Amino acid sequence: MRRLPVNLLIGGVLVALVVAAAMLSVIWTPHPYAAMDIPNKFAPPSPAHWLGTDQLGRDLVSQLMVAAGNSMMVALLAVSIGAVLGTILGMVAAARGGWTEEAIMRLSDLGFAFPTLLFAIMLAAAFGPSLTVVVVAIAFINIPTFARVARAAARQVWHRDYVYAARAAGMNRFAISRDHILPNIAAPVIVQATIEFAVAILTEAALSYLGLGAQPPAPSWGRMLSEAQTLMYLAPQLAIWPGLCIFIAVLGFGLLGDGLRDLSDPRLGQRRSHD
Amino acid sequence: MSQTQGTAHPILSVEQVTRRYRLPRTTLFGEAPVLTAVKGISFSIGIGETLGIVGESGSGKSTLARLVMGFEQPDEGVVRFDGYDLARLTPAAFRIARRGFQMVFQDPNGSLDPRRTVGWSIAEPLRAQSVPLSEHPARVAEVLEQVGLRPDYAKRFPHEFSGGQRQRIAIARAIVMRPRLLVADEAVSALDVSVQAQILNLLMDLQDELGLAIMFISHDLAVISSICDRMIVMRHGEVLEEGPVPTVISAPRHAYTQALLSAARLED
Ligand SMILES: Nc1ncnc2c1ncn2[C@@H]1O[C@H](COP(=O)(O)OP(=O)(O)O)[C@@H](O)[C@H]1O
Ligand SMILES: [Mg+2]
Repeated sequence: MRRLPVNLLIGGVLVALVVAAAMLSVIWTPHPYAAMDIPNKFAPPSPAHWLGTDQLGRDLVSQLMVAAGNSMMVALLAVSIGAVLGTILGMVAAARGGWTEEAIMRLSDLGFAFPTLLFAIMLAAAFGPSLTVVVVAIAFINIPTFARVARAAARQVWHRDYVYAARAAGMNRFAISRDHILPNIAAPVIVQATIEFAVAILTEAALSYLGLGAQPPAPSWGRMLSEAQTLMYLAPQLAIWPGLCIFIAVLGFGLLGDGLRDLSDPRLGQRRSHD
Repeated sequence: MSQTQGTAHPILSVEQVTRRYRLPRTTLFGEAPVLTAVKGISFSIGIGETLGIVGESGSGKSTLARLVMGFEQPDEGVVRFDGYDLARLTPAAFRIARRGFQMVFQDPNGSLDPRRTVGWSIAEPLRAQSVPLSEHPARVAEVLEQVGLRPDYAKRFPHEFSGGQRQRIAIARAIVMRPRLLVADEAVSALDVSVQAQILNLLMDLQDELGLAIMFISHDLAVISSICDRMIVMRHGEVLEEGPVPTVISAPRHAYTQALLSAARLED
């Protein structure tokens, strides 16, 4: 048995922490996250408010928990949509080859060159800022990423002998893609999804920070950060906590993705066993 | 070993087949270099006959196998199976024609999908050819026994087997549609010598049982001479020599064949 990589372990723990907080927020938070208590604003940590309250007297822990839920939901939706569409495109490209592949990959290049921020601003201008805009923007920029990963992996699998055997059997390209290609490219796609999850959390925070994402009162780490900015000297903790949450979540998913890649990449595995 | 020798009614005939590969450009504005892996090769295989194709690595043997199997199209020339030009068949007709010719690969680790059970892999040609599902378990069990494995192995995964056993499984998949031609590309080269002999014996037994023709590709003249009726010597994509195995071995006309011969003798 191979040793469990350290990054996988730490990443797993951090991710479990964030996901647990997010899931718990659905059924329970210490206080209603939007409940204001102006006389009690800027309260220091206490048994009632573990991390204190903000400028409107709202409980910080509750807000951070609900924000975690929003962040996870946005990342999950956006990365899932991007991964599914991108993987399908990549598999089609690898299966068909020729001009179809050329067209899909050139379009991907185009999508790659397109900045998320610009796309989100355009969407927000057209439809008004919301978390939906954030989901669509992140999903869109994820499509080419997954198309590339899926196509590169699929091209390799198409040259395995078991795929030649399936062709010799008389299986068509669709059946081969479903039966052999997809199961055998799942590992790199999942690794990429975990890494993109980290990027999506950061992007959601950035877009909400800029006011393109979560709208009041929906809490978001990014928006909490931007609201805390003006109060930086008065109450620095209001910026520190959401910042720390972003850091933990991004680091956690990043390490988890790294660890999964180490685990699934046989070349790395071999290198490790030679040490 | 073979009922019908020669070319009276060849099961496979390869006529003036050429295959070129465009290589990556080496200079920015120059022409992309072209490698001709197979150059105007012709041969045929009779029903139930074993044709050996020998040549050093890079001589174009695997390319020839891919052309015969229809994985790639020749740039020139025609591949006929049972008289039909494969390139002219409709996709539906081609799929049905595939029942007649199957392949066994070199690397028994790579020729079975690691995520699928042995039974699933063996039944793949049955599914592709729309054989009624109810017949699959019996057909899988039957071919497993034919290749000398227990029928209950169908439930297991490839990693549970040795290289020799996996090659038997690959052979079982290849014969499940009762083909008339088997293309074996270095089918024993990755195996231990003792296992090689077992697999060669199995192929010869199956040939007698099923009346299979075999296109047996190897870089090893010793292996070719032990099971083939006729042989072709290839180099740089061309046929150097062709004839009955005893003739070619006892009186090689080409220095290259002589070199292959002495290499094979040295290994013994
Ligand atoms: N897909 C390909 N693209 C480019 N060159 C290839 C390709 N396949 C084979 N070749 C080249 O064609 C020649 C013959 O290869 P191959 O048929 O694999 O020979 P063999 O099986 O006898 O070792 C080699 O020089 C090889 O590099
Ligand atoms: Mg070869």
